[in-house]
Amino acid sequence: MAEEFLNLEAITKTFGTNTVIKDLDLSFNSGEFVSLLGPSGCGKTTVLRMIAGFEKPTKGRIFADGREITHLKPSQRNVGMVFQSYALFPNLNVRDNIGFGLKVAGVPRAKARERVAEMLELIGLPDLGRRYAFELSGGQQQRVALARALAPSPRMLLLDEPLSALDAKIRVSLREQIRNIQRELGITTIFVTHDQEEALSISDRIVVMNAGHIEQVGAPFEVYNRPATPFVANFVGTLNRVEARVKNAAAQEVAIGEQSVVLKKLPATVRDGEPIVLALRPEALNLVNGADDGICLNARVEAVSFLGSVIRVGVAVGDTRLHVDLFNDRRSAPPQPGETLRVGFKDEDVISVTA
Amino acid sequence: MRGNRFWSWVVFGLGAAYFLLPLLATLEFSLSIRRDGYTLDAYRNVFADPGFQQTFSYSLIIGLCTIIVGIVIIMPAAYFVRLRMPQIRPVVEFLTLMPLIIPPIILVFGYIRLYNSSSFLPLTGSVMGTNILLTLGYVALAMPYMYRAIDTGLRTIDVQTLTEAATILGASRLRILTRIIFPNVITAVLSGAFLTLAIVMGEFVLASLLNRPGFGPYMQNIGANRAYEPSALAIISFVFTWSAMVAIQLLARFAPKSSARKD
Repeated sequence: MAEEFLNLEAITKTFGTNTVIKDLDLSFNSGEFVSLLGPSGCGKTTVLRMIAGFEKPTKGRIFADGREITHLKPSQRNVGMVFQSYALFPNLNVRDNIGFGLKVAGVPRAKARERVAEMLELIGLPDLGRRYAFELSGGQQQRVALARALAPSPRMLLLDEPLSALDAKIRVSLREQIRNIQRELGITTIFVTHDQEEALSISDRIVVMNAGHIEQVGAPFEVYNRPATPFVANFVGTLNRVEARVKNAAAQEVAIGEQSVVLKKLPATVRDGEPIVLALRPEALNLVNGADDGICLNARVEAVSFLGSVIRVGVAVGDTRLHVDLFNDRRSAPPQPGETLRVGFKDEDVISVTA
Repeated sequence: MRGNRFWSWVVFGLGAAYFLLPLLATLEFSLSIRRDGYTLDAYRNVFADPGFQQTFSYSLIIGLCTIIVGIVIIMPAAYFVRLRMPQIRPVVEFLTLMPLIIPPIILVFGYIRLYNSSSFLPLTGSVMGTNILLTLGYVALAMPYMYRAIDTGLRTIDVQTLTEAATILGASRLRILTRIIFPNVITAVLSGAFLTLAIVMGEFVLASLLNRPGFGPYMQNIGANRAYEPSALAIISFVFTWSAMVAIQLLARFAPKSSARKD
């Protein structure tokens, strides 16, 4: 079991009359990569800034390695931080940017030079030490920013949407590089993002936030497949919401448009005639050929989007629009708009049933 | 399209003539001290005059002091307003415009009243004290230009994030200001500095009423007593100011470049 490294205890943050974080409790294990995921304005950056020391909690305490750091200045917390806008010092070259923290700390020049070279190797830019920020691509600049944050050997790394300003392809390669470096150094890392794919792909754990509170904390697999709240189900991944009505609660029969299906997962509290919503991931739906032991609905194909490895088929079941994700199989042609077919799913793939 | 361009050139030509003809007339007059042709005698007379050298050097030194004091006061003020109190920026901007609204004569009489030899801070009681007062007066006069130049420079960089990036690496506020912020707005600071120098070199009211040997009062004195030399001085002053402007343009090339790239 990993050792607990950072603790946020009953943190509340208020700006004027606006409470952006309310009674938040959160802990991070040593060497863990945790993503704070949520929509804009959910308070994830505020949490990161409180950990960094740029904001003071209105209430609550922060502990790092057993020591309270709530009132310490950012420079006293021994954390490294990478910003969305890179924030490289334009007047300094790459070498001097990376060595800035070492110089401030009074590290002897020879030792600092050695450490800077080591960092340049780590980020894979050993020959670009003399360049200035404007001579580097966005991805290179962010790698330099990462090296600058890591050079003074901080005990924690904070990443504030470091990939948001980059193009999609660079984003994917850089996030993998960040994760590899983090694994190599074993440094506790907190990564703020609003991009669920990013969070799912690189995190040990994800903290899903909404309106200043935590909706769910868990491993990516758990958050995606077993969302704790409707918000998490909707925010993480694509979700189909199937509007239905309980036809016969005793027989667990549900009406979806004109069609009826039997749903074993139906809560015992529902009554006949009650409207309910079934939540299903697009990949939980499949196109049925012939007999199937799951639940099947007749559907009409409305749109087909080719996404490379996945084909997203938009279907209509009565008035309900659904997305079905199919693996791209080069041996069979995708369905065509206007075609009628059967869409199936399994009882256990229904994520939640809400009234 | 061609017609548009023709009229653009006509407007440009008229504008240029409006500014250049008086200058050319002054230049021509400054060269006409002899009846038998053009000569640089007026310029020779000016450069040979010990009064010119003394007042020019005096104003230059006071100008440099004004720039240093101005930077030391205005740079941190503009930085902290941007960083910590952006909401009061319009108020600060208005305050910095006051020297343009209040005539220098009111400013200098206020100074003399406040800092005369029988006041709590008798700056006018000594030569050094009066020089300090003159410098501070010039800092006030140049404030609209210096503040705006520095503030424009600060607008081109992400002051907040650069400060936070340096803070978390352990840098003190002084180090951030001198090593990170100042080098990145140096071009803007220098444009403010050159404007300040241009103002100080030609300023008359403060130097005259504080009885200091500035270049402004010297020019006025020469203008009252000579015919051709004032024109030569006007041209010299013009060349000096324009050299300062050219220097600003040249320095702008060395400004730290923007690095916002997505690739």
